Order: sequence, then C-alpha cells, then structure tokens
Amino acid sequence: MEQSHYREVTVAAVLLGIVQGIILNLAFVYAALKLGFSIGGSTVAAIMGYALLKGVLKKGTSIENNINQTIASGINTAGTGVVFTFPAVFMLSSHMNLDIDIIPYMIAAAAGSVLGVVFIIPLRKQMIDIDRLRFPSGVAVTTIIRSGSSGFSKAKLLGIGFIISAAWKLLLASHLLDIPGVLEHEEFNFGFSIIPDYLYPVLYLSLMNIAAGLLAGKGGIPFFMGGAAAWWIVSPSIVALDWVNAEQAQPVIYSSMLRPLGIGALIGGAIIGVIMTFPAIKAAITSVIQAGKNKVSSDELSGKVMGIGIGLALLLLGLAAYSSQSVSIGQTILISFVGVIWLALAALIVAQATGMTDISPMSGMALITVTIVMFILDKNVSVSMIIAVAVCVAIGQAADMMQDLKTGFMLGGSPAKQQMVQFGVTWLGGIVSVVAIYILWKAGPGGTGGFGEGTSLPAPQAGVLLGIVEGLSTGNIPIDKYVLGGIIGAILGFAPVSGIGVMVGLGMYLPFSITLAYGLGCLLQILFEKIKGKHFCAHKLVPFAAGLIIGEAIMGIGFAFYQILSSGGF
Amino acid sequence: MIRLLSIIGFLTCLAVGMILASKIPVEGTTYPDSTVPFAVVVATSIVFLILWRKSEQSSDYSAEQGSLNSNQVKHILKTSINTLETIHQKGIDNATLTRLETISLDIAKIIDSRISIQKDLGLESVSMLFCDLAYSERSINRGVSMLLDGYENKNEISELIRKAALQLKYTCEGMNSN
Repeated sequence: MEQSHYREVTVAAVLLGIVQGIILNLAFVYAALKLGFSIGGSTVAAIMGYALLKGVLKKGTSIENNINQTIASGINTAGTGVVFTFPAVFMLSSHMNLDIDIIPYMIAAAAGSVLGVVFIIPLRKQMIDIDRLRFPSGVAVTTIIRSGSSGFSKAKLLGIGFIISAAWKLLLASHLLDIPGVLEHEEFNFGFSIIPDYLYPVLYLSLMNIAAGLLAGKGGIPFFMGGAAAWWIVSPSIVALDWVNAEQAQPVIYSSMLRPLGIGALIGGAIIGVIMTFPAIKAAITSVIQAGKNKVSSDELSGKVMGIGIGLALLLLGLAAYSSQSVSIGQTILISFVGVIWLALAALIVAQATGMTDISPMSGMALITVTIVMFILDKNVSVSMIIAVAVCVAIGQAADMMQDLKTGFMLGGSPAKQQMVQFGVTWLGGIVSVVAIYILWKAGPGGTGGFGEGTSLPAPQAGVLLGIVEGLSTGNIPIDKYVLGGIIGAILGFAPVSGIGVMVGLGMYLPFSITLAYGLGCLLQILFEKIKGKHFCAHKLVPFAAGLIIGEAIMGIGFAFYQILSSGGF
Repeated sequence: MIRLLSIIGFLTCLAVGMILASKIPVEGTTYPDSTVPFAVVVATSIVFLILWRKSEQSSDYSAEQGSLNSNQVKHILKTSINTLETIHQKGIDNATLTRLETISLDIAKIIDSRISIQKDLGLESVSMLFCDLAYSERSINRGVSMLLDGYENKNEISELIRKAALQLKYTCEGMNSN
C-alpha cells in the first residue's frame, strides 16, 4: 500500500503538543501548589489543537490533533506526579535536615515518564481491545476532536453540556450558593442534623463527576457499591460496636480504617485480577506477536521496545537512587527491581481504575510506594521520596496514556505512533516541573521556604504526604489494614465480575461524596438506557456528558488562574 | 435461586469481613483482636464464592436479554465483510459514512454480548476475537475520521475499507478455527 497522506504525526502537531504541554505543566504545577489540586490538560490541548491545526493551518486532521493532545497531556501529567511528591522533599528538608540535590529527582521523574509509557504497551491491548474499559475522559476528548465534523446535533449537545457545567462550576466556585453547614466546598450535606455524619450524607456537586458515571453506566456500579458498603454498612456497624466515638466517627473511620483498607483491597484485587484474566493477557500478548507477522494488522509496538524501555528505566531508577545519600550498590539494585515491579502493578491498578471510573488513586499508590521503600531501606527518607517521585510520575503517565489511546482507538489513530511520540517527549514534563518547583522553593526568603504552610503557596498535597512520611518514620504504618484489605480485595477478584476487587477498593478509598455523585451518574445512565434505548445513550447522552466534563475542566482552570491572580498573581 | 443465595451469602460475609477488618489494633499489637473471626467469615465467603462461580457456569443467568451467540456473531461479521467489500468495489459515496457507522453499531452489539459469547467459546478465544475485532474497528474508525475530515484521497479510504474487510475475514477465520 502506498504511503498515506492523511496527516497524523506531523512537525506541527509535535511542536504544538510540546509547547502546550510545557505551558500547561508550569501553570498547573503552580496552581497545584497554590490550590491543592491538579488538572488534566487533554481537553485544553484538544481544543487548542482544533483551533490551530484546523482553524489556522487549515489542514489538520482528527488523528493529528490526537497526537498533539497526547503529547501535551503527557508532558503536563508528568508535572502532576512531581507536584504531589517533590515539594514534600523540600518541606521535609527543613524538618529533618536533609540535603537536597535535584539531579536524582530529575532522573527519577524521567525514569517514571518512560516506565509509565512502557507498561502501557501490553496493558493497552488488555484494557482497550479486550476489556473495552470506558475511559470517560478519553471519550470526552474524542467528542471534542470530532465535534466540528460529526454533525450539528452532537456539537449542540456538547455545547449545551459545556455551558451547563461551566455555569454550575462558576456558581459553586464563586460561593454564591454557599449555605454554611449545608452547601460548602462544592458539596451538599443532606444530613440536616438528622442523618448522622458517620453515614457520610454528603454529595459532591461536580457535574464532571456525575458525567463520568453517565459514561460508565452499569460498569461503574461496583465502585458505587464499594463506597455504599463502606459508609452504609461498615461505618454504622463500627459505631454500633463502640469501636470509635460516635461524635467524631467520620474522620477516624475514613483515615484510620476505610482508606487504608481500601488501598489494601485495591492492591489485592489488582493482583488477583491479573491472575484471573491470564487467558486474556495471553491472548493480548499472542495478538501483539501475531500482529508483527500479519501484514493487515501491524500497528503495535514490539516487545523489543518494551524491553529497551524497561532496561532504560531500571538504569535511570538505579542511577537516581545511587546518586542520593547512603545507598549501597546492593540496595540500589534491589530498589530498582522492586521499584519497577511495584510500578508495573501500580500502573495496572491506576489504568484499570481510570478506565472504569475516570479516577486515579495516585495518593494511595504514593503512600504504598513510600511505605515499601522505607521498609526496604530502613527508613531512608531521601531514596523513598526519589522512588515515590518516579512512581507517581509513572502512574500518572500510565493513566493519561490509556485515556489518549482510547481516544486514538475511537478516532482510528495508530497506537504505535502515539506511544512512540509520547515515549520521545514525555520525559520533558518531569524535568520541567522538578526545575520549576526548585526555583519556587529558592524564591523564598533566604533562598528557601518558597512554599509550604504560611506562604502564598501552601502546597496542600505535599503537606499530606509530609505528614504520612513523618508518621512512617516513627513506625506508624497500618499494616493490618493493608493486609486484611488485600485479602478482601483478592477474594472479590475471584468473583465472576470483571475488576470488582479494584472497583470496591477504590470506592472504600475515596471520600464517599465523590463515589455517591459518580454512582448517581451510573444509575441515571441505566435509567436512560432502559427508557430511551442504547442509540439515545450513544448519540445523545455521550456528547452531552462529554460537554459536562469539558465545561467543568475549562471553568476549573479559568477559576484557578483567577484565584492566583486575585491573590497576588504569579 | 442457588446463584442468588450464593451472591447474597458472599457479599454478606465480605461486608462482615470489612467490619471486622476495620477494628484498630490495641497498642503494641499489629493485628486487631477481630482477626480470627475475620478469617472465619472470609473462609465462609469462599464457600459462597465457589457456589456462585459454579452456578454461573451451569446457567444462562449472566447472559443478558438480546445477547448474541457465536453463530449470530459470525453472521454479523459476514454481513459487515460484504458491506465493506461492496463499498470498496463501488467506491466512496455519500452513503459510505452511514454504512460505516452502521457496521460500528453492529460490532458494538458483539462487544455487548461478551458474556454469552464467552460461554460458547471460552475466555481466551473471546479475548482473541476481541483483539482481532479491534484491528478492524480501528480501520473503520480511521475511515470515519477521514470522511468527517473531508479527506480527498478516496482511493486511500477505499483501500482502508478493503483492509478492514480483510481484518474481519481474519477474525471470522479465527472464530471458525475455535
């Protein structure tokens, strides 16, 4: 077959992706330090790509725009992994007298970026081609990319969803609707002092969250069931058994009981999920091998690329660990291998959770990473944080790449090309954000303390990790919860419902307000399908839900910048 | 009935297990004193799980109404191959996009019937079928993108459709060999 002239990987798409990725990375790193949450850049990149590639260059194609958004979101997402972990290192340095050399962290961030993409090679076939996971954000980005050319009615529904969601987000974020004790922090407390707090009568009023449920449908119900079991069965039982004080039950039950149990269940469910789906994994690998031989279906990256990637990442991870303080060669080799194996499992968990629910349990994975590494290296905080940076970057990359590959599948893009471009440029994101955070820290009085409590950049996520690391270094690890939760997740993994262990674990791990809103979306989708049919859901509900996701994302970004500017600016 | 009871028993045991696992250990111990009862309910849940899995294998409960069996899947694949070959032979016209979207919806029906097909063919064969099917779907999706983007090289779109038909034939052959 002659060379295709249908534009896919082009200089324009790659350059635009890199430029957008770096800008979004820097902006979102700053916003995350300021506000405590990070934002995915796929939707912004896709809209900008549409405007510039199609609008300005007049020759852009859908799959070319997909390459642009793949690169941009890859570079941006690396920053999310770094901003969650790396600032905690600086904050720890003032508590624990640590010397900080940023080079190991830059290497770790680059290693994480490479590994996140590498582990997706076999997972892509498993989760997109075989399991057909929904990846709601991937579907939303597809809808944006196709919105201009797939008919007015779909574009109109996308637009309506966008306007409703953006307006709603604006109303919530501006606190115009706030009623103390009832509607605050974008959450609706429907307890009204009648339903006790330990039943978690709170609904997260995010239309994006509900829309993710609308896109997942009945597939998302086990996630909701996990949360419902945790807060409507386990929590009241704990109170009835008098294991906690009923007055302050909710925060204790969440942080000391359900959250660590959920993390354990996530991991146990994922491990058994791998074992139970072994025939499917075998089929996926066979298909990849056959693809190389079969001329009509050769669009896969080969196992060789995966091998090179793993080798490179092992080397980088080892180099990062060895270049830090007081680690022997033996420990370096051990930590590199354990790091890579754990990372593969974490990537699998996060990709599966994102595919089913659109939610990434990054903080839980970071917590387990730090626990494992501190255990192996006898509470060596510096190396633990280096590996935590690599793992957080990698799992963020894995989840983002899977969403992008889902978009690529729906548009007919080449997975091999998408993975190669991401492989080629994504390391940039980790390095950019490490340097940005270093500069922000050095901008403080006397060359330190540029962020953290009491500054204009409170870095709330890193503050949480800081507390965890300090707890771990004093031996405060809820091992029992991880193990017993792991057993529950593992048993659920044997049930004849795909992915139920991971979903239930995630439902227990997250605040119930999020799970409840998501579950509401799932139930609405089931209702719509029953009343209006599958065609309605595919052609009306999907673009509308995509609009809801995009509207909140864009308004969230706009509002973050407004808050930063109004409180002193950059 | 056995299936329903085993599911209820399994979920009840696990809920009790979650409650028992939640207890915080007393100072100086690693595990809570509810660990032994936890082990008992977990062991019981495994009995219910085995019953659930057995009832699942010997019944049609998990197959939803309207699910396709493997013969119907083959029929859909053959119809889709014919449609794609017709498009390739007659060339790209205004109706091509609608036809490709119809094929996509037919393939979606196959995907939705995963459980019932799995009963016929087994997990590994269904996984292979879905892998193979994904190649054709990707080609069809690419064709749809080209048409929506107004791509002018109709020969290339036609060639892509021929490739999708070939891939579907390959999928059909794979099903027959199972």
